Amino acid sequence: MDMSQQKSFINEAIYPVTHETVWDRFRKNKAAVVGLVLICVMMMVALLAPLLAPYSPYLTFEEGISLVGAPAPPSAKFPLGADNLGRDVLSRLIYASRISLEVGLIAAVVSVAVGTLLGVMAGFWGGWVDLVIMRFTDAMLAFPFLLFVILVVSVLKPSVTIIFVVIGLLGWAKAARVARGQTLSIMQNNFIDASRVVGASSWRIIFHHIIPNIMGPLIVLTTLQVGNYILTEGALSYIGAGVPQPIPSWGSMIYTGQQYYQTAPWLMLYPGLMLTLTVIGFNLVGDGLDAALNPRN
Amino acid sequence: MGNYILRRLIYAVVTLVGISFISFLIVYAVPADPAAVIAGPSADAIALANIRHQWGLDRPFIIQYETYFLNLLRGDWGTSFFNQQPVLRQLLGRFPATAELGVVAFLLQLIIGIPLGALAAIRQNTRTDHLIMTGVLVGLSLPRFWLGVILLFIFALKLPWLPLGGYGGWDHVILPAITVGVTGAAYYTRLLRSSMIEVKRQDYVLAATAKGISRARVQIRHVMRNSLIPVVTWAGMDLAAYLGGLIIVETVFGWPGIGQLTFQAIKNMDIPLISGTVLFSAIFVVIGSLFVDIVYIFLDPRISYE
Repeated sequence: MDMSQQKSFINEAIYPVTHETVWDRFRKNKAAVVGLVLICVMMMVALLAPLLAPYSPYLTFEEGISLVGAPAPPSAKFPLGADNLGRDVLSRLIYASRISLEVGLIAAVVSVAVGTLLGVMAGFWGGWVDLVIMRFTDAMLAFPFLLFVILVVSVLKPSVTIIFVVIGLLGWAKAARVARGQTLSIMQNNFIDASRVVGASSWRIIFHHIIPNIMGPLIVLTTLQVGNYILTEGALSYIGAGVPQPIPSWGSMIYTGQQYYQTAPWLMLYPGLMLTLTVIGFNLVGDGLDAALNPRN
Repeated sequence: MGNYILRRLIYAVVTLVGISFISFLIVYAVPADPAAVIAGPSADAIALANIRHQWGLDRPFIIQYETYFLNLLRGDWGTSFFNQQPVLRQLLGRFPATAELGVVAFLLQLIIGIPLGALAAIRQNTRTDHLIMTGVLVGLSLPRFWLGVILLFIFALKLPWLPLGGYGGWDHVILPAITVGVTGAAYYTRLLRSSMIEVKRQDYVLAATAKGISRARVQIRHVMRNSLIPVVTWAGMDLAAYLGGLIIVETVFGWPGIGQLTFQAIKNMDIPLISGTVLFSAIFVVIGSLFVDIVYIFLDPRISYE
């Protein structure tokens, strides 16, 4: 064999490399791909709402309610029926996806960002910084999350922005725990000490070395948290502490829907279905990412 | 071992104090003016000032906290703004209902979740496993309040088998317990399954099998016992959270427990009651985690060497 063949032969022997990327593994996971499709569909629905919805979600129709006030059943004019105020259910469902996705995504990113910062600080500096942050985290975890969210949102007048800010600012505890654990194990590595020796400042080490290397589990957590926060927003809207009427939200649609169980049972069915499907999507992708990042061959 | 328990105990007490402080902050920092809530909309400035003085709302922050804390210890958790009843008495009065729902739901979760988790782990990667994990996925993604509404619709309205919510005998508790149990069991199934898969790969399991221990004994004594550790941890915190009151489920089913009380308190901006329910919930969680830490010693002997 010639020189270059010898070199690559030795190279392959010493450094056996798998050219399979995380994305490759993810793609092979059928469930994960289904989840990704679900999420993309939902996002498209939310983004293209004005184009997809037949009417405005706020428009009330006379034909929507019968003379006795019963909502109209599914028909040509109202593909999924009308609600108790004569509004088109399909349009409301489509626009409501915006609320859920907006809240879910932003709150998840905010909560993981805040949690990561605190967790990495705790893991990196250790000592009393770690003690204080972790005790605070444990205290936060002791409080029932939903109760806190309901309380704070009720005190400040509820709006979409308030809701995702509150959820984001109260939900950092899980991310902090994960980030701290990851930081501690990353710091076992020599390259952290090497950066120190070369003269890197603490913050540079944190942002340039630690955080990029712990992104995997954090991205998984973010994805799963989106699903959780979508459910949280749904619960908030259901009990009336969420986005105010007449803004459509799947949760509040279920609440008004249940009162018309006899005359219009579909009213409470579809919003719940949408919620479940969306959350299933995020859960599948989250699990898929987790499996793709930690292959167990 | 005693050292470990003592440290955990002290830590629990410190956490409780911290929680009481946060709980007090809720009372103190809420922008709604409590004097205005008590006095009503037509009170003038003098009346408001009087009420503030009467309720001690004009004293310094630390003094107010100190009074608050000492009162908590004495059993005086304040009086509800709304119905003038003592907070602690209301909480304790509603506790049995919450406890009933919480315990039944918790047991249901274990009965459903643990066997399914074990089954999925034993038959890993077979169709049974995939089927169970699909169930887990749905269980985790279902909104609880929606499941409750749908169950009520099917079993209380379409088929009039069960009552439409409210408190009573076993037929009243069954639907709310299922609502919580089904969604909660999913966590246990997933947790136990991944825990068992992890444990089965361990060397000591191989060693036990090589030693000639029967397959059943290996599964139970070596695999299960170790796999259950994370499950026990989760279970302790789970039950504690339920005992603090499930706001959503109690509201859906009209279950007269602490959760329902909490929700009404928030709607009414009844600050002492809100603070009381938050504190009540958190106390259970702290006790729960202390309990779990202690049980840990018996499950994992390595812990006591820390």
